[in-house]
Amino acid sequence: MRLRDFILRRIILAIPVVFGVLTITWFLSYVVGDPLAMYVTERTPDQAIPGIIAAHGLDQPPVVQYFIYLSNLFQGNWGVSTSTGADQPVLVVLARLFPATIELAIVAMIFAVILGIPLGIISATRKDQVADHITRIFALSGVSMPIFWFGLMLKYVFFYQFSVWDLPHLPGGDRYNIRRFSWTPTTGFLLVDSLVFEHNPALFMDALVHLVMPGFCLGYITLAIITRMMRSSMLEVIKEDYITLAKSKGLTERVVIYKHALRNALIPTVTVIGLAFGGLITGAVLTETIFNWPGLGRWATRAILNSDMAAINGFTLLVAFIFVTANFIVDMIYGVLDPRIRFG
Amino acid sequence: MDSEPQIIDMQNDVHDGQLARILGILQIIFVMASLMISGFVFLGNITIGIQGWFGLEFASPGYVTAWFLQSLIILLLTFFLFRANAGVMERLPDAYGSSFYLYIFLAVIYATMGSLGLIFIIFIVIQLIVMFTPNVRYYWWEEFSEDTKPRIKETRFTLHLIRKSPLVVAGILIIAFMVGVALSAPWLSTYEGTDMVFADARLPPGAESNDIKLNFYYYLEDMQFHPEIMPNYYYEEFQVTETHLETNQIPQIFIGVSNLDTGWDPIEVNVTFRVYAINLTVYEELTATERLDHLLVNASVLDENLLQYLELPDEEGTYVWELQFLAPYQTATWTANTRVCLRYFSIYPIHIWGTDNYGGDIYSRIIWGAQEDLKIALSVVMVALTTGAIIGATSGYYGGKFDELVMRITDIFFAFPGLVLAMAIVMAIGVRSLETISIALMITWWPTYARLVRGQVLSEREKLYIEAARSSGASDTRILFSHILPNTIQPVIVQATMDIGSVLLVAAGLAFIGFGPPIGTAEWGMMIARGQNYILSAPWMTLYPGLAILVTALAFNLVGDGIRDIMDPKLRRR
Repeated sequence: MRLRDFILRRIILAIPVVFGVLTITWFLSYVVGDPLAMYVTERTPDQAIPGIIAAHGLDQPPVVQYFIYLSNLFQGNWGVSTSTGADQPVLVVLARLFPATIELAIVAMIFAVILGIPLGIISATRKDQVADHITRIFALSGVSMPIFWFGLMLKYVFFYQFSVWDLPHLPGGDRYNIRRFSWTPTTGFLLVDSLVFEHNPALFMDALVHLVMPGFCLGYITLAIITRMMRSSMLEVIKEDYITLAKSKGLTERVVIYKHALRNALIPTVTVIGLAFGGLITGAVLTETIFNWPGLGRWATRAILNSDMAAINGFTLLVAFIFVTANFIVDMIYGVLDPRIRFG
Repeated sequence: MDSEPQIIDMQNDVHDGQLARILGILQIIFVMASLMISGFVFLGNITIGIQGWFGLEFASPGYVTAWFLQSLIILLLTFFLFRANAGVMERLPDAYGSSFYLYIFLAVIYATMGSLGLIFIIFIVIQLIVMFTPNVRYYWWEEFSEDTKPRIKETRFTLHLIRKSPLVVAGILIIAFMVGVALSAPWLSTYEGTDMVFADARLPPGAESNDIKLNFYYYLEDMQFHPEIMPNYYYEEFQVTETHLETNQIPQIFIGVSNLDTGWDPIEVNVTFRVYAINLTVYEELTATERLDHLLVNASVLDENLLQYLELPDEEGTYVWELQFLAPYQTATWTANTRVCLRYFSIYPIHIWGTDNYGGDIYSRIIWGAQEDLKIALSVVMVALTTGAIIGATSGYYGGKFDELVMRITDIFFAFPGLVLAMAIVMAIGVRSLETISIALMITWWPTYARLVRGQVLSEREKLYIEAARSSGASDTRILFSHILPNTIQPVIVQATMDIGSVLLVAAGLAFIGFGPPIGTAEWGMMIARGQNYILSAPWMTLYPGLAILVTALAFNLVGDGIRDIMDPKLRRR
């Protein structure tokens, strides 16, 4: 199978998944929920409601409604979200909040990668020693820790207790200090905007400081996943014959580990990193709620608590899209890196 | 976080009654169908069991399918019942309507399932016993022990490796400890899970209670007291001990006789209540007039309600109370609402880990929460594992169109953010309870196992021993369930162990966001949610439940991770 065919096949396989997600969101909002709620808010006058019902085809049979729903989605008409204070189209809200979440996710990922890979190596090279045990407990705590609890505890110590002890403390929420700075989003990525468009290094530093706690909190789970993956793939690689050969050639332990073993062990870890990115967006739901981060996650939580079906649909579709894309890209990379997968 | 999203759509329909009736009929059909199915399963089990007696083979496929079917039936049933009754019981407790009968049906179904399962287990036990009787054992034991020798050796080696890895041992110990705590919650906890001592709100760990507890101990309680023939009288010995005198409040005895009704007889009943400072033997020896020398307190009314607290002396002692109903002549139609009880105050136990904002004891609530959370985690993983394993194994083994379909479905599930899907399902079911959370998580979780098992089966399917089994004429079901599944089970068990930890986290997360059981239920996630608004003034409200989750989930993860290391064939030897 050539690379082009492989890519085509992957794309064709992704289509039913996207349609499945669309169908489930439709089912949840139209059959379980109240479809009218997507278009009507508290501020809609009563006389307008029959018109809205007719306009959106809500009096049609379900099958027709399903196709109306699909065509609406493809035309960019994703309904109106009521959970942001004012009534806004879902797509507008998504576009506005998306950069904040992505920024947080990228920072979390950087934390996870920078800490996770060395920890995995340490753990693998010192297998069954004290360092390994400590690293493993540290890493496994990441997947055993309720992320919201971890966030609350971080906030309590580094925000509240540090300020009680008159130490320099980390901020407890928000993207930047609203009282000191003002900011008009250009790209929406605060770190980029502050340097490139606003030329305001103080705002950049402030944004960076605000990212530390939520970023670490969110990254801890991924850190755990990366460390575990790194450890196990490293352990497998170390047992390979070529490593034994390299050692018997008289190369130092350091060279063997970092030049020969690490490169081969990184491949599965990279896959996991790609897949974990989708998980980060989901994890952001809780982290953003705790740190009052004005991103998609906090919005989704509010939407669900307010039964804001349009917003829930929008969020779900976006996350599903990100996940499918991430999967697709990982598959691509794998296909390029490892020809056996293409031909298998 | 205590805000309650309103679910209005069902309620209006239920008011109309139309939908409820239709759903009611549907449910009856459903229940009958599932009864029939479980009947078939039951008959099938008997057949397999009898086969087992004669053929002396351990018929695992039967058990597996039965287990699967039963969990599936219960799952579906509960879903439909919850869906139909969404909001009805909460909002309209009087309007039972059809939902009342539905709940009875649910109870019947659970009882049936339970008894079926019991009979089922008894069958297994009987079969095992028969297998080990000497003259039956003669036929299979030699061959069996010869066959299992390498397996036993391998198990010994595994156990040896487990003993050598401290983290796995620690994990197992912690799990055992947590399960022990959950099981012995009534004895370990100092308060009930739902207890609230409002005067004690937000006390720090180790604080003594500000309040004293009011206790009632009933000696006689009868809502429709009905002496066979009037007149009549009752007496009983009681003791005032240290436990009743812990505080400076004096214990009191309460006599309440109200709602007297003499029916057709126009007579007046004299109600007399006395407390004597003597014990029962002395009381029975003395005559009525002699007893009056020892009279402590006395209350008496003629044909009206007697509701009175009588103070007892502030010291330990043995007393007898005596209640007399005196009437001029006999009557058989007399009734009264009667109760005699001891009212005393006691000191609340110390709050070891502080209290929450309603005065709930954190330590006790964590212990009660251990029960709820472990129950959710275990049930979710078990049902998801069974469902997922069977679907995955079938699709991996048969392949083709079915496989493609199943894999696309799991893809869809994976593309959803798990937490959001679970939230949506909880919303769809519409009832806030621990069961709802379990069901939502079961639905979100099975694809993981389907994928995992399918992959394993695919790699196992092509191996030589499967060829051998097939060429010796084994059926597909037999190959799948007795050859392939046992050999693919190891990674599944590892995954399940670690998933118990993850389910704990997700369930807590759901409860935290506000999809938890009703307020007041002791559940770790809800406790953290309750604590987050008081994090600055009362950090212990958040700290301890979170630690409980962390420790429990970590234990499961340590065991799972360690076992994976031990079982990994690439790392095992050398």
